[in-house]
Amino acid sequence: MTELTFPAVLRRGLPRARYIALAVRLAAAAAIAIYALTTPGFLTLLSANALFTAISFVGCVAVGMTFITLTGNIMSLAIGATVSASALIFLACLSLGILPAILVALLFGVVITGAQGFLVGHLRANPILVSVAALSLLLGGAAFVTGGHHIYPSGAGLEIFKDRFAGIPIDAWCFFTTVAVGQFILSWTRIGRLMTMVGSNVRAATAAGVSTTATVTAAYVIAGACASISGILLAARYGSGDMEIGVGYDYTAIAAVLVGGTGIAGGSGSTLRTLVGVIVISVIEVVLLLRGFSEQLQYLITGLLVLCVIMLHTLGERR
Amino acid sequence: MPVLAIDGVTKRFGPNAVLKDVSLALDAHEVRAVCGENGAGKSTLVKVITGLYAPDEGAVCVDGTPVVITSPQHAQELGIALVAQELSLAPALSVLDNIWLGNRKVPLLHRRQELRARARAALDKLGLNDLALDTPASALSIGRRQLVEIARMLTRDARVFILDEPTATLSDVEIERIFAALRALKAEGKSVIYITHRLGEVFEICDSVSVLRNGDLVGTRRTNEIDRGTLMQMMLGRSLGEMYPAWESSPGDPMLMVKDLHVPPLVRGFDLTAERGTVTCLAGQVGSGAITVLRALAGLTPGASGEASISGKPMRLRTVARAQAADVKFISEDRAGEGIFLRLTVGQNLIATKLKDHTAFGLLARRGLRATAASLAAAVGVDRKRLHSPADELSGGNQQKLAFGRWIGGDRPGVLLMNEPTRGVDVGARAEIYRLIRQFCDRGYCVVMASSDIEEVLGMADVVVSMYRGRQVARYRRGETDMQRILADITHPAAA
Amino acid sequence: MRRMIGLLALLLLALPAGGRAEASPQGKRILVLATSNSNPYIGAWTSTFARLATAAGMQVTNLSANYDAAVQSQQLDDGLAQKYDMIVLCYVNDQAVVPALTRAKAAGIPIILFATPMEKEREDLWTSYIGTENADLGRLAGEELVKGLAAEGKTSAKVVAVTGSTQQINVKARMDAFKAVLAQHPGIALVDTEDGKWNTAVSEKVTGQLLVRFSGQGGIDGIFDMADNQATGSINAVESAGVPLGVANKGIVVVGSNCMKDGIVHIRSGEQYGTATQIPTEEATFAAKRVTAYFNGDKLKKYEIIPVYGITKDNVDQFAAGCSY
Repeated sequence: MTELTFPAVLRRGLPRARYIALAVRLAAAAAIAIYALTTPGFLTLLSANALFTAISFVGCVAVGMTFITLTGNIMSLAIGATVSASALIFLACLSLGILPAILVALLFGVVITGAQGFLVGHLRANPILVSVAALSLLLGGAAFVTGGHHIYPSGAGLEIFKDRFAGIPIDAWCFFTTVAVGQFILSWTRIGRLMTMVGSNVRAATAAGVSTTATVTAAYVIAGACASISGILLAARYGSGDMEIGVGYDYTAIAAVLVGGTGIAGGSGSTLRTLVGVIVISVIEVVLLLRGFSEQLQYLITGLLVLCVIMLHTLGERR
Repeated sequence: MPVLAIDGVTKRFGPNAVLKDVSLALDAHEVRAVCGENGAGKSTLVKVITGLYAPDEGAVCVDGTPVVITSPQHAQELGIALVAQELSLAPALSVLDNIWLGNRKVPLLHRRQELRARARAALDKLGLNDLALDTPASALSIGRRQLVEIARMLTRDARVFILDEPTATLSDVEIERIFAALRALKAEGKSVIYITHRLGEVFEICDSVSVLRNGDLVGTRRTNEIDRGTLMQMMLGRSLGEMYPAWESSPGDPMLMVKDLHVPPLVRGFDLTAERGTVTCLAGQVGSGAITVLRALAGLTPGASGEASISGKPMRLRTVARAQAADVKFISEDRAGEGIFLRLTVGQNLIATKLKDHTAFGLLARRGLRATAASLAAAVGVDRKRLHSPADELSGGNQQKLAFGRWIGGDRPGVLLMNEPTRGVDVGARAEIYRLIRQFCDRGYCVVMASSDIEEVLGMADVVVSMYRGRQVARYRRGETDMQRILADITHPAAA
Repeated sequence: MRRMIGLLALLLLALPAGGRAEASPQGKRILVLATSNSNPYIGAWTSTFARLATAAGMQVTNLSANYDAAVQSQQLDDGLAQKYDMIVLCYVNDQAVVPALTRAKAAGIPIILFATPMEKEREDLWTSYIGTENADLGRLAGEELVKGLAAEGKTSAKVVAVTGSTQQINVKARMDAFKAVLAQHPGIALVDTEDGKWNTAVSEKVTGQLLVRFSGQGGIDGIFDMADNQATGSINAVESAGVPLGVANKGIVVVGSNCMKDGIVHIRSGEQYGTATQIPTEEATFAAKRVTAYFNGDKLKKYEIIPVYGITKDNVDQFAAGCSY
């Protein structure tokens, strides 16, 4: 009898295990939300602004990483270094003007990451190994070119990045735009669909005539562009750069991607989910800080909660 | 007293009984063949004997005592050894280490010399006198690995050896080695259960044969009391029924021409001509090369070479894109791994190859795609309400319909290649799939399918090409052949 | 080939010296192992040291572990196997290098630490630490913060610290010294310490939320950022929040350390009150000098300390060049 009380759509669309997983997920989300909202200071404009700025940089990277994960290639460990290198290139090219500098930095991220995608897609090389090689290349190359020094802006014009639009920092706007464009690519373009197919099952995609090389390369190109956007934003905001500003962004990004619910196995995911993942992790971090937990506890609790969320997702997928 | 006896074993999965009241008994010094079509219950029987499945009714008796076999390890302790085909050896370890690997009777402090001597003796018995004990397993051919595997079982005092299609992927020389080893085992007083599709082997190496069909034991005979014809009738013995659509078979224009196709290492110099509006069946067992040929034509084999043309226009092999540009469409034998996207929805699967038709400037016309998905679902007979369900919630038959659906449409009729189109498909859906295949023919497609199911081949083919180890054995038009002929062709043509 | 020439050179030089060849830096092979040459401070240190040591006749090999402790252990062991005359080390993890350092000690290969010393209990494992006294940096930061607050007329205040990676020993040493200074000023309370991971963006994020957290309790009066790039992050956060900043505005007093170009700029503009020298080029120059002296027969002290200086608006011009590496 109780079954009849469920809405018919839900009953048909969701087997029991998934229904339970969904319920647990909603309950968890509600718990986090309530805990956050009752934290003194959380619901202030001050906090919201600080949050939005903070999530923008790693958020852009996470959007890009979504594409790599979605095509079944887990993650790239070179993305953090790509963020740093893009920042350096942007600052070094600023003397050419702000737009050319942005374009050169974007091109760099696209080429260096797209090349990884080509190797992964064409040779079916292990994506982690390829990204480790790219990481060494980036670090070595940067050390060679800059001698490890800080890079400072070679031109002016960075002030526009400190502006706000409708009360929200430019960095946050860039992030939200990246999310929207990413989602548009996934839902409304052919290449987006092909990425889902390749990520879902490479062999089936090949048999269906999909060019895995082109598709995987495209995913990495997007990831590279996103990493460059993050690098440009960082460089513009802090007016200097070195190879360490992007350190760890790859790991934070993949955590956000997984917390958002994009499957590590590939074939399903969206940048909107990643947006949720980024916000969830940041909210957890912020709330723990606002409530005055010690650093050690902050790390511990954040790690545990991230783990729990990811486990909840796998629970929902298994049948 | 029989060494091993199976007494009235029934095994069900859900409502389906895959073994029904099967009884057989095996003596020492006996090599017993177990024959039957795909899905007859042979592998289930093996799994019951080796403790992977518990029978729902009946019992397994060892030396006359009923035993409950709980696991393959337990089966080994009882002296029942399954000789795995290739993967059970650790490639990096030596032959010697592989033979003793995991043997619980080797004490922690053991005399290496004694182990060497015993391994040597086991290998010698099987005719591997020339094989050094320190050779790494990775250096051995598949046939020799099986022999090492048998030697491993010998050192564990196994008494019943189960071999499941040991010769499917072997060369003649290697097959002869296996036979010699089996004769040696027999002389030792061991018993062998030999599962095979190749009837020639039954008469060459086995003392007796048990035939399964649809989970029933049809009977057990001594091989010197029956002939091939009798055995085949035992295996097939039922009418084709209403499964297959009726049609007038008439020759069409040659559409697909293949000359001198090479797909190393199996297929060397294969020729094929297939006609528009007809079904050509490549009939062959595993390892016959039928599947390999079609995979190569679909562009999925990078090492393939040879000439192929569609309606006179040459087609280049080795990439799927080129094959598809020449209107060659392919349905894989590996449905879950390659045929469809299990984790995508029904709708996404149906439009997997249709995206290009609904794209302008890289953007998708989602409304058009939805309409296409709905019409394709209707065309192949999948419920439209399931368009948003994941494909892996569908039955095997409905999944296969998705694979067909994605190739429906387009302006020009092309070549439709399919491997084992009804593998894992239940009877009801089979009939629907056969109807779909004929519909492709009616639209002017040239259909080529590889199948190891002879009944299906006879039911569907306008032209039958029988294959054995990468070569064509014979070519028949509809009505020119029968089951026995084809079975003889694809099992052991030399004897036929 | 290069090694052959080096050997030959060594031989030629050894001849007139008459058996006193050992007491000379000429031809000595030095292995410099860094955490990461991508880090501007470490990169500047190692490149300066390599340049000067080479000029003094030594052969320098410089390897980076990219923060991988396992890689660094391997590099250390390779260095031992190739019998370098000295290993100059900035360790990734103080526990992970212990086995290799023990072997180095047994092999009699001198180990010079830079950037970070090790804990006292392990002093027997290395020959000398050449660099700044981290406690001095913490002390200077504390003193500057107190001075800055005093300039605003505040004797009671709430301050926070945004630190480098908290598991590092030098970070702990600096915090201890910083707290010791505050302890002498009972009105000034350290209300929170957060891990800024030496990272600009992380520091901005942390500072932003700290501002929120204490906004209901009268706000924050001072921030100690352990490096100047982190101070940049904090300054950004304060400005984004629209909270007054700098002594001139009677706002938050930001104090940095590990002087960098950012810090110099911000001190001049009044957004940052002070910082302290930790100038890699000068430290490396000092280190190269001491190592040369060592090969000339000098003994090295366990701690070869280079003095540090506080930088505020008054003396910023004096350090501007050195800090802009």
